[in-house]
Amino acid sequence: MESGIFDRIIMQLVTGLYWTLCLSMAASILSLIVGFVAGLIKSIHVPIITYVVNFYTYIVRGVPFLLLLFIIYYVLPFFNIRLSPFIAGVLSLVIHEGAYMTEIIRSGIESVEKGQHEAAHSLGLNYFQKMRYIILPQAIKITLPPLAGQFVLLIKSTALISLIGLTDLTRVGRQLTQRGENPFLIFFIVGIFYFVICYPIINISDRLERSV
Amino acid sequence: MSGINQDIMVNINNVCKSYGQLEVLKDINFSVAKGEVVVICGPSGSGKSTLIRCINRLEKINSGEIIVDDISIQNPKTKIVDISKNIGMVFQDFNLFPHMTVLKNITFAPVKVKKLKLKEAKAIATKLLERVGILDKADQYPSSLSGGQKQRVAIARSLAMQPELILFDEPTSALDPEMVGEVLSVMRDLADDGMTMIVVTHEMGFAREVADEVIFLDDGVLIEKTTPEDFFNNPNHKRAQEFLSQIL
Repeated sequence: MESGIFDRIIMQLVTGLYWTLCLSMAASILSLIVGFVAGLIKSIHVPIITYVVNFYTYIVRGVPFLLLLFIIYYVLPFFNIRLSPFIAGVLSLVIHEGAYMTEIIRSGIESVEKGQHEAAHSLGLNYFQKMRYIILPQAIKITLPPLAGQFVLLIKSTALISLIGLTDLTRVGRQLTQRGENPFLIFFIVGIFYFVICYPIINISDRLERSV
Repeated sequence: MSGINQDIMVNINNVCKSYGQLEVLKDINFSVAKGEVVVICGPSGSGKSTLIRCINRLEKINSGEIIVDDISIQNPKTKIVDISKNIGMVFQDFNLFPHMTVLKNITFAPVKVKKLKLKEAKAIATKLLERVGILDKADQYPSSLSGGQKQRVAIARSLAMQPELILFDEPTSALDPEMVGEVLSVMRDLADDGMTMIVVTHEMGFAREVADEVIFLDDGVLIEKTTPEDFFNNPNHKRAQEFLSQIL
Protein backbone atom coordinates (compact mmCIF):
# COMPACT_ATOMS: atom_id res chain seq x y z
CA MET A 1 0.00 0.00 0.00
CA GLU A 2 1.53 3.27 -1.21
CA SER A 3 -0.52 5.82 0.69
CA GLY A 4 -2.43 4.66 3.75
CA ILE A 5 -5.85 3.13 3.44
CA PHE A 6 -7.07 5.86 5.72
CA ASP A 7 -6.18 8.75 3.39
CA ARG A 8 -7.18 6.91 0.27
CA ILE A 9 -10.51 5.53 1.30
CA ILE A 10 -11.81 6.59 4.66
CA MET A 11 -11.31 10.34 4.22
CA GLN A 12 -13.04 10.19 0.84
CA LEU A 13 -15.93 8.26 2.30
CA VAL A 14 -16.24 10.69 5.17
CA THR A 15 -16.86 13.55 2.74
CA GLY A 16 -19.58 11.41 1.17
CA LEU A 17 -20.93 10.64 4.61
CA TYR A 18 -21.13 14.37 5.30
CA TRP A 19 -23.50 14.86 2.36
CA THR A 20 -25.52 11.81 3.27
CA LEU A 21 -25.97 13.20 6.77
CA CYS A 22 -26.84 16.69 5.52
CA LEU A 23 -29.38 15.25 3.13
CA SER A 24 -30.85 12.94 5.79
CA MET A 25 -31.19 15.65 8.38
CA ALA A 26 -32.65 18.29 6.10
CA ALA A 27 -35.11 15.82 4.60
CA SER A 28 -36.04 14.32 8.00
CA ILE A 29 -36.85 17.65 9.59
CA LEU A 30 -38.77 18.99 6.61
CA SER A 31 -40.70 15.80 5.94
CA LEU A 32 -41.63 15.62 9.62
CA ILE A 33 -43.03 19.15 9.38
CA VAL A 34 -44.93 18.25 6.20
CA GLY A 35 -46.22 15.05 7.82
CA PHE A 36 -47.26 16.84 10.98
CA VAL A 37 -49.17 19.61 9.26
CA ALA A 38 -50.75 17.37 6.62
CA GLY A 39 -51.52 14.64 9.18
CA LEU A 40 -53.24 17.17 11.42
CA ILE A 41 -55.25 18.50 8.48
CA LYS A 42 -56.23 14.99 7.47
CA SER A 43 -57.36 14.13 10.98
CA ILE A 44 -59.66 17.14 11.33
CA HIS A 45 -61.28 16.89 7.89
CA VAL A 46 -61.07 20.45 6.60
CA PRO A 47 -63.29 20.12 3.51
CA ILE A 48 -61.16 21.11 0.50
CA ILE A 49 -57.70 20.99 2.04
CA THR A 50 -58.19 17.44 3.30
CA TYR A 51 -59.14 16.44 -0.22
CA VAL A 52 -55.90 17.93 -1.55
CA VAL A 53 -53.87 16.18 1.15
CA ASN A 54 -55.56 12.86 0.35
CA PHE A 55 -54.73 13.31 -3.32
CA TYR A 56 -51.09 14.02 -2.41
CA THR A 57 -50.67 10.97 -0.18
CA TYR A 58 -52.37 8.65 -2.67
CA ILE A 59 -50.27 9.81 -5.61
CA VAL A 60 -46.97 9.72 -3.78
CA ARG A 61 -47.54 6.35 -2.18
CA GLY A 62 -48.37 4.88 -5.58
CA VAL A 63 -45.28 6.14 -7.43
CA PRO A 64 -41.70 4.80 -7.13
CA PHE A 65 -39.39 7.14 -5.28
CA LEU A 66 -36.79 6.97 -8.03
CA LEU A 67 -39.33 8.16 -10.58
CA LEU A 68 -40.24 11.10 -8.36
CA LEU A 69 -36.55 11.99 -8.07
CA PHE A 70 -36.05 11.80 -11.84
CA ILE A 71 -39.12 13.93 -12.47
CA ILE A 72 -37.86 16.62 -10.15
CA TYR A 73 -34.31 16.55 -11.47
CA TYR A 74 -34.81 15.88 -15.18
CA VAL A 75 -38.32 17.16 -15.96
CA LEU A 76 -38.49 20.40 -13.99
CA PRO A 77 -35.68 21.98 -16.09
CA PHE A 78 -38.13 21.92 -19.03
CA PHE A 79 -40.12 24.42 -17.00
CA ASN A 80 -36.97 26.42 -16.31
CA ILE A 81 -36.68 25.10 -12.78
CA ARG A 82 -33.11 23.88 -12.35
CA LEU A 83 -32.26 22.42 -8.98
CA SER A 84 -28.91 21.24 -7.69
CA PRO A 85 -28.70 17.50 -6.95
CA PHE A 86 -28.79 18.27 -3.25
CA ILE A 87 -31.91 20.44 -3.42
CA ALA A 88 -33.61 18.05 -5.84
CA GLY A 89 -32.74 15.24 -3.44
CA VAL A 90 -34.12 17.00 -0.39
CA LEU A 91 -37.26 18.02 -2.25
CA SER A 92 -38.03 14.57 -3.58
CA LEU A 93 -37.32 12.94 -0.21
CA VAL A 94 -39.56 15.44 1.56
CA ILE A 95 -42.40 14.91 -0.90
CA HIS A 96 -42.06 11.15 -0.70
CA GLU A 97 -41.38 10.62 3.01
CA GLY A 98 -43.75 13.44 3.96
CA ALA A 99 -46.64 11.44 2.51
CA TYR A 100 -45.80 8.44 4.67
CA MET A 101 -45.29 10.56 7.75
CA THR A 102 -48.65 12.21 7.06
CA GLU A 103 -50.30 8.81 7.26
CA ILE A 104 -48.36 7.84 10.38
CA ILE A 105 -49.29 11.03 12.19
CA ARG A 106 -52.90 10.94 11.05
CA SER A 107 -53.29 7.39 12.28
CA GLY A 108 -51.60 8.36 15.56
CA ILE A 109 -54.03 11.21 16.12
CA GLU A 110 -57.00 9.07 15.17
CA SER A 111 -55.92 6.25 17.44
CA VAL A 112 -56.37 8.43 20.52
CA GLU A 113 -59.67 7.32 22.01
CA LYS A 114 -62.81 9.30 21.33
CA GLY A 115 -63.36 9.49 25.07
CA GLN A 116 -60.29 11.71 25.41
CA HIS A 117 -61.88 14.25 23.07
CA GLU A 118 -65.12 14.03 25.03
CA ALA A 119 -63.41 14.46 28.39
CA ALA A 120 -61.55 17.51 27.06
CA HIS A 121 -64.82 18.89 25.70
CA SER A 122 -66.66 18.34 28.96
CA LEU A 123 -63.90 20.17 30.85
CA GLY A 124 -64.23 23.16 28.53
CA LEU A 125 -60.90 22.96 26.70
CA ASN A 126 -60.93 24.70 23.35
CA TYR A 127 -59.74 22.95 20.20
CA PHE A 128 -56.17 24.22 20.48
CA GLN A 129 -55.84 23.29 24.16
CA LYS A 130 -57.37 19.89 23.51
CA MET A 131 -54.93 19.07 20.70
CA ARG A 132 -51.90 20.62 22.36
CA TYR A 133 -52.28 19.17 25.84
CA ILE A 134 -54.46 16.08 25.52
CA ILE A 135 -54.51 14.55 22.05
CA LEU A 136 -51.07 15.24 20.55
CA PRO A 137 -48.99 14.13 23.56
CA GLN A 138 -50.74 10.78 23.38
CA ALA A 139 -50.60 10.63 19.58
CA ILE A 140 -46.88 11.37 19.49
CA LYS A 141 -46.17 8.54 21.87
CA ILE A 142 -48.04 6.19 19.56
CA THR A 143 -46.37 7.50 16.41
CA LEU A 144 -42.75 7.50 17.61
CA PRO A 145 -41.91 3.86 16.76
CA PRO A 146 -43.29 4.00 13.19
CA LEU A 147 -41.77 7.46 12.70
CA ALA A 148 -38.36 6.19 13.75
CA GLY A 149 -38.76 3.36 11.25
CA GLN A 150 -39.63 5.87 8.57
CA PHE A 151 -36.51 7.92 9.35
CA VAL A 152 -34.42 4.80 8.77
CA LEU A 153 -36.10 4.27 5.40
CA LEU A 154 -35.44 7.91 4.57
CA ILE A 155 -31.75 7.64 5.39
CA LYS A 156 -31.41 4.54 3.25
CA SER A 157 -33.31 6.19 0.40
CA THR A 158 -30.71 8.94 0.27
CA ALA A 159 -28.42 6.41 -1.47
CA LEU A 160 -30.63 6.81 -4.54
CA ILE A 161 -29.81 10.51 -4.76
CA SER A 162 -26.31 9.44 -5.89
CA LEU A 163 -27.96 8.54 -9.21
CA ILE A 164 -28.46 12.22 -10.04
CA GLY A 165 -24.87 13.05 -9.16
CA LEU A 166 -24.80 14.00 -5.49
CA THR A 167 -21.48 12.82 -4.12
CA ASP A 168 -22.97 11.13 -1.12
CA LEU A 169 -21.63 8.07 0.63
CA THR A 170 -22.85 5.66 -2.03
CA ARG A 171 -21.52 7.71 -4.93
CA VAL A 172 -18.11 8.14 -3.34
CA GLY A 173 -18.00 4.39 -2.86
CA ARG A 174 -18.75 3.79 -6.55
CA GLN A 175 -16.17 6.35 -7.60
CA LEU A 176 -13.55 4.61 -5.48
CA THR A 177 -14.27 1.24 -7.05
CA GLN A 178 -14.12 2.82 -10.51
CA ARG A 179 -10.64 4.05 -9.59
CA GLY A 180 -9.62 0.48 -8.96
CA GLU A 181 -10.21 0.06 -5.27
CA ASN A 182 -11.44 -3.32 -4.12
CA PRO A 183 -15.30 -3.28 -4.38
CA PHE A 184 -15.65 -5.81 -1.60
CA LEU A 185 -13.70 -3.64 0.81
CA ILE A 186 -15.29 -0.38 -0.29
CA PHE A 187 -18.92 -1.48 -0.20
CA PHE A 188 -18.32 -3.30 3.06
CA ILE A 189 -17.10 -0.04 4.62
CA VAL A 190 -19.95 1.94 3.03
CA GLY A 191 -22.39 -0.57 4.47
CA ILE A 192 -20.89 -0.18 7.91
CA PHE A 193 -21.24 3.60 7.66
CA TYR A 194 -24.94 3.32 6.84
CA PHE A 195 -25.47 0.77 9.55
CA VAL A 196 -23.78 2.94 12.16
CA ILE A 197 -26.12 5.82 11.30
CA CYS A 198 -29.26 3.69 11.22
CA TYR A 199 -28.60 1.31 14.10
CA PRO A 200 -29.27 3.76 16.96
CA ILE A 201 -32.56 4.78 15.37
CA ILE A 202 -33.63 1.17 14.81
CA ASN A 203 -32.69 0.45 18.38
CA ILE A 204 -34.68 3.39 19.76
CA SER A 205 -37.62 2.43 17.57
CA ASP A 206 -37.60 -1.14 18.90
CA ARG A 207 -37.43 0.05 22.48
CA LEU A 208 -40.23 2.55 22.01
CA GLU A 209 -42.34 -0.13 20.41
CA ARG A 210 -41.91 -2.35 23.43
CA SER A 211 -42.71 0.46 25.87
CA VAL A 212 -45.92 1.61 24.15
CA MET B 1 -89.48 15.60 47.05
CA SER B 2 -92.16 18.16 46.55
CA GLY B 3 -91.78 21.86 47.05
CA ILE B 4 -88.28 21.94 45.63
CA ASN B 5 -89.54 23.02 42.22
CA GLN B 6 -89.06 26.73 42.71
CA ASP B 7 -85.48 26.62 41.44
CA ILE B 8 -85.17 24.96 38.06
CA MET B 9 -81.67 23.92 37.07
CA VAL B 10 -82.31 22.05 33.84
CA ASN B 11 -85.13 22.58 31.42
CA ILE B 12 -85.54 20.30 28.46
CA ASN B 13 -88.19 21.36 25.98
CA ASN B 14 -89.39 19.39 22.98
CA VAL B 15 -85.98 17.91 22.29
CA CYS B 16 -85.74 15.77 19.17
CA LYS B 17 -82.64 14.14 17.80
CA SER B 18 -82.02 11.77 14.97
CA TYR B 19 -79.06 10.13 13.30
CA GLY B 20 -80.10 10.22 9.65
CA GLN B 21 -83.38 8.34 9.45
CA LEU B 22 -83.14 6.96 12.96
CA GLU B 23 -84.98 9.01 15.56
CA VAL B 24 -83.21 8.53 18.87
CA LEU B 25 -84.99 11.17 20.94
CA LYS B 26 -88.64 11.97 20.31
CA ASP B 27 -90.01 15.16 21.79
CA ILE B 28 -88.42 14.90 25.23
CA ASN B 29 -89.65 17.28 27.94
CA PHE B 30 -88.63 17.44 31.56
CA SER B 31 -87.02 19.67 34.10
CA VAL B 32 -84.67 19.10 36.99
CA ALA B 33 -84.75 21.27 40.08
CA LYS B 34 -81.65 22.53 41.84
CA GLY B 35 -80.30 19.86 44.18
CA GLU B 36 -82.36 17.12 42.62
CA VAL B 37 -81.02 13.70 41.66
CA VAL B 38 -82.64 12.27 38.57
CA VAL B 39 -81.93 8.75 37.41
CA ILE B 40 -82.55 7.94 33.77
CA CYS B 41 -83.07 4.29 32.99
CA GLY B 42 -84.34 2.24 30.13
CA PRO B 43 -83.33 -0.60 27.85
CA SER B 44 -80.16 -0.29 25.80
CA GLY B 45 -80.69 1.77 22.66
CA SER B 46 -83.47 3.72 24.31
CA GLY B 47 -81.55 7.00 23.92
CA LYS B 48 -80.66 7.63 27.54
CA SER B 49 -76.94 8.20 26.97
CA THR B 50 -77.67 10.35 23.94
CA LEU B 51 -80.03 12.42 26.05
CA ILE B 52 -77.51 13.32 28.72
CA ARG B 53 -74.80 13.84 26.11
CA CYS B 54 -77.03 16.53 24.59
CA ILE B 55 -77.14 18.32 27.94
CA ASN B 56 -73.47 19.33 27.66
CA ARG B 57 -73.50 19.47 23.86
CA LEU B 58 -71.42 16.36 23.24
CA GLU B 59 -74.31 15.72 20.85
CA LYS B 60 -76.27 18.26 18.87
CA ILE B 61 -80.05 18.18 18.82
CA ASN B 62 -82.27 18.62 15.77
CA SER B 63 -84.94 20.68 17.44
CA GLY B 64 -86.08 21.84 20.83
CA GLU B 65 -84.22 23.60 23.57
CA ILE B 66 -82.03 22.71 26.53
CA ILE B 67 -81.56 25.35 29.22
CA VAL B 68 -79.16 24.79 32.09
CA ASP B 69 -78.87 27.53 34.66
CA ASP B 70 -80.23 30.10 32.18
CA ILE B 71 -77.76 29.07 29.48
CA SER B 72 -79.13 27.81 26.20
CA ILE B 73 -76.85 24.84 25.70
CA GLN B 74 -77.50 24.10 22.07
CA ASN B 75 -77.35 27.69 20.92
CA PRO B 76 -74.25 27.82 18.68
CA LYS B 77 -73.35 31.18 20.22
CA THR B 78 -72.98 29.59 23.65
CA LYS B 79 -69.31 29.00 24.33
CA ILE B 80 -68.18 25.56 25.37
CA VAL B 81 -66.28 27.13 28.27
CA ASP B 82 -69.50 28.48 29.74
CA ILE B 83 -71.13 25.09 29.43
CA SER B 84 -68.24 23.31 31.09
CA LYS B 85 -68.10 25.74 33.99
CA ASN B 86 -71.64 24.76 34.86
CA ILE B 87 -71.83 21.13 33.88
CA GLY B 88 -69.47 18.31 34.79
CA MET B 89 -69.54 14.89 33.23
CA VAL B 90 -68.47 11.46 34.39
CA PHE B 91 -68.11 8.80 31.73
CA GLN B 92 -68.52 5.07 31.68
CA ASP B 93 -64.87 4.57 30.64
CA PHE B 94 -63.50 7.22 33.01
CA ASN B 95 -61.57 8.97 30.19
CA LEU B 96 -58.82 10.12 32.50
CA PHE B 97 -55.82 11.63 30.74
CA PRO B 98 -53.29 8.77 30.81
CA HIS B 99 -50.24 11.00 30.37
CA MET B 100 -51.02 13.08 33.46
CA THR B 101 -50.81 12.19 37.12
CA VAL B 102 -54.00 11.95 39.15
CA LEU B 103 -53.35 15.41 40.59
CA LYS B 104 -52.69 16.95 37.18
CA ASN B 105 -55.84 15.33 35.78
CA ILE B 106 -57.78 17.25 38.39
CA THR B 107 -55.92 20.57 38.33
CA PHE B 108 -55.51 20.81 34.57
CA ALA B 109 -58.90 22.20 33.55
CA PRO B 110 -59.29 24.60 36.49
CA VAL B 111 -55.89 26.09 35.60
CA LYS B 112 -56.32 26.16 31.82
CA VAL B 113 -60.01 26.91 31.55
CA LYS B 114 -60.96 28.71 34.75
CA LYS B 115 -57.53 30.38 34.98
CA LEU B 116 -57.06 29.42 38.61
CA LYS B 117 -53.57 29.67 40.06
CA LEU B 118 -51.88 26.29 40.23
CA LYS B 119 -51.64 26.59 44.01
CA GLU B 120 -55.37 27.17 44.38
CA ALA B 121 -56.16 24.36 41.96
CA LYS B 122 -53.90 22.01 43.91
CA ALA B 123 -55.57 22.93 47.17
CA ILE B 124 -58.97 22.18 45.65
CA ALA B 125 -57.73 18.94 44.12
CA THR B 126 -56.24 17.78 47.41
CA LYS B 127 -59.52 18.39 49.20
CA LEU B 128 -61.43 16.53 46.51
CA LEU B 129 -59.06 13.57 46.54
CA GLU B 130 -59.47 13.38 50.27
CA ARG B 131 -63.22 13.48 49.83
CA VAL B 132 -63.22 10.59 47.34
CA GLY B 133 -60.73 8.73 49.52
CA ILE B 134 -57.64 8.45 47.31
CA LEU B 135 -55.36 11.27 48.37
CA ASP B 136 -52.48 8.77 48.53
CA LYS B 137 -52.71 8.24 44.76
CA ALA B 138 -52.24 11.91 43.86
CA ASP B 139 -48.85 11.45 42.21
CA GLN B 140 -49.62 8.21 40.41
CA TYR B 141 -50.67 7.79 36.81
CA PRO B 142 -54.16 6.50 35.97
CA SER B 143 -52.78 3.23 34.60
CA SER B 144 -51.78 2.16 38.11
CA LEU B 145 -55.29 2.64 39.54
CA SER B 146 -58.16 0.20 39.79
CA GLY B 147 -61.37 0.92 37.91
CA GLY B 148 -63.13 2.15 41.00
CA GLN B 149 -60.24 4.45 41.86
CA LYS B 150 -60.17 5.77 38.30
CA GLN B 151 -63.83 6.61 38.43
CA ARG B 152 -63.42 8.37 41.76
CA VAL B 153 -60.62 10.46 40.22
CA ALA B 154 -62.92 11.22 37.30
CA ILE B 155 -65.59 12.40 39.70
CA ALA B 156 -63.03 14.56 41.53
CA ARG B 157 -61.88 15.94 38.18
CA SER B 158 -65.36 17.06 37.24
CA LEU B 159 -65.99 18.47 40.73
CA ALA B 160 -62.81 20.55 40.47
CA MET B 161 -64.53 22.76 37.93
CA GLN B 162 -67.13 23.46 40.64
CA PRO B 163 -70.10 22.72 38.41
CA GLU B 164 -73.74 23.27 39.29
CA LEU B 165 -74.75 20.01 37.67
CA ILE B 166 -73.00 16.71 37.06
CA LEU B 167 -73.99 14.24 34.38
CA PHE B 168 -73.15 10.60 34.99
CA ASP B 169 -73.17 8.34 31.94
CA GLU B 170 -73.33 4.78 33.26
CA PRO B 171 -70.58 5.48 35.80
CA THR B 172 -70.42 1.94 37.15
CA SER B 173 -71.02 -0.11 34.01
CA ALA B 174 -67.32 -0.64 33.26
CA LEU B 175 -66.43 -1.59 36.82
CA ASP B 176 -65.85 -4.97 38.38
CA PRO B 177 -68.74 -5.73 40.71
CA GLU B 178 -66.70 -5.30 43.89
CA MET B 179 -65.83 -1.73 42.90
CA VAL B 180 -69.32 -0.51 42.15
CA GLY B 181 -70.01 0.19 45.81
CA GLU B 182 -67.15 2.63 46.35
CA VAL B 183 -68.21 4.74 43.37
CA LEU B 184 -71.88 4.72 44.30
CA SER B 185 -71.01 5.78 47.83
CA VAL B 186 -69.10 8.81 46.51
CA MET B 187 -72.13 9.65 44.37
CA ARG B 188 -74.41 9.23 47.35
CA ASP B 189 -72.30 11.69 49.34
CA LEU B 190 -72.51 14.16 46.50
CA ALA B 191 -76.28 13.84 46.42
CA ASP B 192 -76.43 14.37 50.17
CA ASP B 193 -74.40 17.54 49.74
CA GLY B 194 -77.09 18.90 47.43
CA MET B 195 -75.38 18.47 44.06
CA THR B 196 -77.76 18.41 41.12
CA MET B 197 -77.19 15.14 39.33
CA ILE B 198 -78.53 13.42 36.24
CA VAL B 199 -77.49 9.79 36.28
CA VAL B 200 -77.86 7.20 33.57
CA THR B 201 -77.48 3.88 35.33
CA HIS B 202 -78.64 0.33 35.63
CA GLU B 203 -78.06 0.40 39.39
CA MET B 204 -81.66 0.20 40.49
CA GLY B 205 -80.63 0.06 44.14
CA PHE B 206 -79.02 3.48 43.75
CA ALA B 207 -82.07 4.80 41.92
CA ARG B 208 -84.39 3.58 44.66
CA GLU B 209 -82.34 5.01 47.52
CA VAL B 210 -80.85 8.21 46.14
CA ALA B 211 -82.98 9.45 43.26
CA ASP B 212 -85.64 12.09 43.75
CA GLU B 213 -87.09 11.15 40.42
CA VAL B 214 -86.75 8.34 37.93
CA ILE B 215 -87.15 8.84 34.21
CA PHE B 216 -87.87 5.83 32.06
CA LEU B 217 -86.98 6.08 28.39
CA ASP B 218 -87.97 3.58 25.76
CA ASP B 219 -87.20 3.86 22.07
CA GLY B 220 -86.47 7.56 22.38
CA VAL B 221 -89.70 8.38 24.18
CA LEU B 222 -89.95 9.57 27.76
CA ILE B 223 -92.49 7.13 29.14
CA GLU B 224 -92.43 7.75 32.87
CA LYS B 225 -91.17 10.47 35.14
CA THR B 226 -92.05 9.74 38.67
CA THR B 227 -90.75 9.10 42.17
CA PRO B 228 -88.68 5.96 42.73
CA GLU B 229 -91.40 4.54 45.00
CA ASP B 230 -94.00 4.81 42.26
CA PHE B 231 -91.65 3.63 39.58
CA PHE B 232 -90.56 0.50 41.38
CA ASN B 233 -93.79 -0.38 43.15
CA ASN B 234 -96.43 0.35 40.57
CA PRO B 235 -95.09 1.41 37.21
CA ASN B 236 -97.88 2.70 34.97
CA HIS B 237 -96.69 1.55 31.63
CA LYS B 238 -96.30 -1.92 30.28
CA ARG B 239 -92.81 -1.25 28.91
CA ALA B 240 -91.62 -0.08 32.31
CA GLN B 241 -93.12 -3.17 33.94
CA GLU B 242 -91.36 -5.42 31.44
CA PHE B 243 -88.08 -3.57 31.93
CA LEU B 244 -88.27 -3.84 35.69
CA SER B 245 -89.16 -7.51 35.61
CA GLN B 246 -86.05 -8.17 33.55
CA ILE B 247 -83.67 -6.06 35.58
CA LEU B 248 -84.80 -6.69 39.15
